[in-house]
Amino acid sequence: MDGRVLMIAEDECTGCLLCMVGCALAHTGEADLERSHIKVYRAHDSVFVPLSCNHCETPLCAQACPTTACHRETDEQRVIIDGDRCIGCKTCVNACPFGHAHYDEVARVSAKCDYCGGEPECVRLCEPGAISYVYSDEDSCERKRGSAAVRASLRRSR
Amino acid sequence: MSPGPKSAIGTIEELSARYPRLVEEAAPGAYAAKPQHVWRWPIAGYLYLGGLGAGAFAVAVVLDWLGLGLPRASASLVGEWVWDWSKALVLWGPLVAGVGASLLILDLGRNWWRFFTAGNNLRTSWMARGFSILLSFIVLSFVVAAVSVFAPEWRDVALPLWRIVEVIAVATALGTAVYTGILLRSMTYILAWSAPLVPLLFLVSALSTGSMAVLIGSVIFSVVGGDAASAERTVHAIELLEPVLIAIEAVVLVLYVRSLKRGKPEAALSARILLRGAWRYAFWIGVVGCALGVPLALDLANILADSMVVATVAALSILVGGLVLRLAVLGIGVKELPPLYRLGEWRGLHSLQPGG
Repeated sequence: MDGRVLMIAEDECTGCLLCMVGCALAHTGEADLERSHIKVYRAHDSVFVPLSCNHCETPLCAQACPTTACHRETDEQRVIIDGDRCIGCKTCVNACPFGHAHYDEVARVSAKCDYCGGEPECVRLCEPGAISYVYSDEDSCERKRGSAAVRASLRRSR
Repeated sequence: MSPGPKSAIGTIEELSARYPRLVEEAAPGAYAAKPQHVWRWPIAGYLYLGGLGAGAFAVAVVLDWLGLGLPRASASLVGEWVWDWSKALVLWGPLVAGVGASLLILDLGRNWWRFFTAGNNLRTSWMARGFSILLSFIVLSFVVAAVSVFAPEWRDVALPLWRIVEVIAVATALGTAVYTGILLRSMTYILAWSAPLVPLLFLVSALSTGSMAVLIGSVIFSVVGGDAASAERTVHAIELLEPVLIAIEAVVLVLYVRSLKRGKPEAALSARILLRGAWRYAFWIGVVGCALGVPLALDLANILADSMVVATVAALSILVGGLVLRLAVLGIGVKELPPLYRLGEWRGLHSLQPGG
């Protein structure tokens, strides 16, 4: 994958939730955290992990979508749900292994992270720098491997 | 766990008060897995009525092929136009399936009127494939039913050709019955749905409920003035089939639950919810009782009693049980948690169940 991806550094995340607020505001006009496409989870007392759609190369949500409203844009290397074509059947919600596609009960369509058209709001608002929007090449993936090692050590400590 | 830091919009306690669905606590050491909540009773109704309509149509047509169907009962409809009202009592598969499809449309979101685009992604989407199969079944079975009821003489004119149409219609009916299970099976990470036996379970249940719909239609036929002897023959034929279907369904159900109990933790959780948890009454009373035990007992008793009333009660019991089965399978659908979600003790700042 040559496109850009969100890089999460959970050791930087403070759990301030500004990313969720910004995401909800940008997509819905309301600071309703339930409508945010990025979710912040907490493990232990001080480990926060913001998670959003992985924009899989083989997206199960897009495979399951009957109308092709959910599809992968190869140019942008992202998986998006076209709200105008989505019929709200919620098949993608059940198909996604990670739970990132969700049904927006206010808008009555399924929704997920779309990288905000190339300028992710969560990246812009993240002051600690826990979220970055980087090219998925070797150098940026090294940070991912570092983060994975942190998670693995947390698991061993349990 | 100590109170969390104050975020830009409040502490966790303040957030949990403002967003009750957003902040939940997991029991220490327990998985945070919970059943899905986006597909509820309308989808269960769609799966049930689609299977019931398909099963009823297939059974009615096959009984007719075997000479065990209801005899033609002609009556004047308008002027010299006569109709065969006996077929109207048993060929209601397309109507029932249509009502089921309406429930699916009812469950859609704001662009529901674009439901006809649900067949766009035939390449990968089982929802799209099923929509096409269901639509084919409704159209073909409606044609068969309409001609059989309102223009039966057309069938007599070209019977071999008509048989081909009926065979194709029955094939789409069986496809619809199986598809209801395959649709769930395509949700790979909801382990209670992706179990290999789900399509077979739904197929057998569809044939069981469908045959009961035909039985009830036959009983109504004899009550409202049709040939009682013929109706009884049809009912007896179905009563011979019924224990076989019940036995198969029971075996498949046991194997299905067993496979869940021996599967991954989320599958075992689904089995626990079904057998001892929130769905235990529905399962033991609705599925094991109404769909299996009660009708089997009544069927055995009816060997001696030979009562249309007993047969009807058994049929109604199976119809109830079939619906409860769909509701229960949907209700126990727990999504397999990705390994990251199991890390440590998750106390989420969002719903702990993936999928919103």
